Order: sequence, then C-alpha cells, then structure tokens
Amino acid sequence: MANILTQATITTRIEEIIKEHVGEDLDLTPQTRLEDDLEIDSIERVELGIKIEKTFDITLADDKIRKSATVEDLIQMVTHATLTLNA
Amino acid sequence: MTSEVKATSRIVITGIGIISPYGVGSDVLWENVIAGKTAIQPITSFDTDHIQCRVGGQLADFHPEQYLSSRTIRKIDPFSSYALITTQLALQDAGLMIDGKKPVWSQQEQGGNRIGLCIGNNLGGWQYAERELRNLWKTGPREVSPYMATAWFPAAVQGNVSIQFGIKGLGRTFLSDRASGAQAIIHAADCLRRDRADIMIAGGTEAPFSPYAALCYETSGLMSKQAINHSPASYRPFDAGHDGLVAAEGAAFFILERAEDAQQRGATIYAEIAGWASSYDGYDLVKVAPDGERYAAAIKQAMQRADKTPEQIDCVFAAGSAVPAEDLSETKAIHLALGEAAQQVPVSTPKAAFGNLFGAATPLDMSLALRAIQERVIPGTLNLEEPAEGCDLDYVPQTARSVEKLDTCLINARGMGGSNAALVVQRWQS
Repeated sequence: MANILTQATITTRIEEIIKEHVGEDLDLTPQTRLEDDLEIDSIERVELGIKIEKTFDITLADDKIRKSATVEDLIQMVTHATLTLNA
Repeated sequence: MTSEVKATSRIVITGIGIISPYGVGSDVLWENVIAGKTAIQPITSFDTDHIQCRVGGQLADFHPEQYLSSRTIRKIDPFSSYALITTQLALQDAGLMIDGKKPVWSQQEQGGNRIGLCIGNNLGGWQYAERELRNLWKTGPREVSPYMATAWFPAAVQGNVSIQFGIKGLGRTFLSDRASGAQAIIHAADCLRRDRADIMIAGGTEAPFSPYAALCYETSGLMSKQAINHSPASYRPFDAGHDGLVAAEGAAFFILERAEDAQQRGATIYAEIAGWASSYDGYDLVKVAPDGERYAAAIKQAMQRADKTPEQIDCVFAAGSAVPAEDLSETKAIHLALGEAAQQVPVSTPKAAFGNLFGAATPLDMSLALRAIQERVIPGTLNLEEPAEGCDLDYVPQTARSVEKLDTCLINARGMGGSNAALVVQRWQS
C-alpha cells in the first residue's frame, strides 16, 4: 500500500466492513465483541478476515483471525500488517 | 408411562412444512396437483447442454430472504435453506413455536434433549460446492468460502437445523437415494416407539440443480431422455412412453409425536403413521431386481405392522420413477404384496406433475397422501396416457379421482439399486 494509513482510517474501514458483513447498521466500538455481541463465529471471522485482506491489500494468518475477539483486535492486526508492509 | 405402553404407542403427524416447485406451503402444492398443472419447465439455473434431461421442477417464486437473513443464506447451500424454512413451518403448524421464532423447548432446561431430527437427502449441497470449486480453480484457495467445510455435505442440514432450533436429542441423516426421506420418517417413528425422543422432526430436502450433480444422475441412466426436447411431459410414470425421471427441488418436514403426547398438549393430528418397513434388493448398484420380491416384502411388512389387510388399502402412492424396468418391478411388487386386491386399489404417482425430489420425494408424497385422506381425493398421475406393457394396475391417470372411502394410504419409496421402503398412513381416529 503506497500510503501509510492512520489508525482512524483503519478503524473506520474495519467498522464499515463489519457493518456490511453483518448486514446491519451497528453501533460499534473497539470493545465490541465479535462472537458475544455480533455472533461472528470462528469460521465467519475467517470470512471477515478475507474481506479485510482484500480491502487493505494485506495478508493475515487464519489462526490470528480466528483468535480475534474484539473489533480492537482486528484494528491492531491490520495496523500491524500495514506497518510491516510499509517498513 | 411405561416403556411397554410406548412400544405400542401410535405415531401421529402434528405439523407439516412444505417447499415444492409450486412454492411454499402445502395448499399451493395440493391445489396445483389437483388442477393438473405441471411445474416441470426447462432448467434455467445452469447450462444443460452437457445432459439430456433438460427440464426439472425448479422452485418458482421462491425468495429465501423472506425467511432467512442474508447472512445465514450466504453460509449455507439451498438444500439447508429449504430444510430450515420447512422445519420452521412444520413447528409453527404444530404449535411448537413461541412468537414465531423459538421452539417451546427453548424455555425448558435441557428441553431440546428429547427432540430428535431425521433428514433424508441424496446429493448434498452441490450448488454451493460447485461455486466454490470454480473459485478454487479460477482464482485460488483464498477465494473459497470458509463455510465450504460446513455447507456442502449431506449432514450439513442436520447441523444447521439442530443449531437453529436447539435440537439436542438424536440426529440422523439418511442417504438412500429416492428412499432417503422414507428412511428418515421410518427411523423417526421407530425412535418414538422406542421412547428415545418425545418429538421427532423428520423429512427430506434436495437441491439437485447444478451441473455436476445433474451429470452424476444423468450417468446413472435413470433420467428422462426425451427431456432433451424440453417437454414438460417428460416424466411419465407407468406410461408406454416412460423413459426415466425428472428431478425437482424442495423439501418437506413433519412433526411426529406419540399420539398420547400430542393429545395431552391439545395438538391437531393430521394422520397416523400406522406401519413402516424397508428392505434391499441386493441385486445391482443401479438397477432394481426385476421380480419385485424384496420390494413386496417391505410393503407386506408395513401393512402387517399397520394391522391392515390388502383390502383395507384405499390408495397407493407409487414411487413411480418412470424408469421402464423400475415401473415394471414396482407393478410386480404391488401385485405380490396386495394379491387379488391389487386390481382394485387405485395407484397414483402425483410427482409426475412436479418432478422427483430424490431425498425429499417420499415426504412430498406423504404430504399429498395426508391431504388426499382429508379430502377423499386421489391426485392423478400427469402424463399417464397409455399404460406400458406389463403395467396393469388401476392407475389414476391425468386427473384427480374423488372416492367415497379413503382412510388408508400405502406410500412406496424406492432408491437406486433397490433401496426399498413403505409407509402406511391412515386417517386419525382416537
């Protein structure tokens, strides 16, 4: 990715992806829990992860995606991946 | 209640859910079949150039998003969607849903432990699987849905339905070709008799319209060859022009209970499943045994279990594959099982009008049999104009036949290679 994304941009895009994925206009916060609050199970998290990969043009490990518990976990994972990509 | 009492319990049907090529619900199925309207049309869901059977009973005016969230639909094959919707309809019909969303047992601790599920299916979720295989070969593994692992295999329905409705008792998926649904209903009835559950949900589901699934059936040699001309009259059970079956999609599920339990909760009882049995020809992988002896054995055993003589059978819903050798063998089996009474018993295969739903074929037949008993009307066998040589029963051709007495129906089921089953359903009399 040519430009380094800000944390705010990453957060906004991830929230958009989650809302589109779940099909509802949700009130998300970084603390929103993927499984308990949004009923996104481990397989669905992989599906969500692939959408995130395509959006940010990055590669994420399936086991890390499966272990993501909150929106914040996804944000941190993408932030780390984009920083690594641009290092 | 002692187990001895339950071993002799009568098994009744208290709920029905149907998706047929005519649409959602048992009324639309019955009305169209009785009106003699065909649901067989040229297949539009995929290119049929590679097969001869180019017509089928595709779902018309069916919108799964009216019943399921887009999020759920994305994760499952249509055969699971059909099962989820028809199970919900059956539970609602049986008065077992609260506010239309949760089953009554969800409010009881461990309430789902005595609820069981038996599913008949034949092909699995090939619409989903083929799409994902195309993604794999065209663009690579990252384009394959992670739900592939849980969407395509025949038992996927069992998982989806049990999770959706909190069913935590026994569960089985039956794959016996066109007898799968019959085997599911038989096992469910047996489980109630054996006191292994208090409520059994049983039926079948099928979504056969995808290029590979259709090709698999085509190579079996069982599909209609005249359907290459896109004729809606290609499915011709027992007719001189029969040359194989035509596929259809949909599902039918029933709620089964012991009669005493159904009465205690004040449920409406549609009918009683009085007898059932199954057998195998042990003859060939695809062909059925020409003599029909093992098929007849299943029919006789089902009648014995129901305590019925051949003279007490008012109507036969034949499997009627329209495969010439199978039509002849079934005719022989009915003769062997019913003896002299075979000449007087009306025989019909209403599925000629809408297609053979494979794993859901018998459940659809059973839903029509229940309505036939209620209305005292036997649906006709569309496209049966001149019986084939050797097919010499009292078939009900083309149009429905009203009868004075219709209390007991025999429902035949037969899958590839002679996987035979028979059910006897009768008017409920407490």
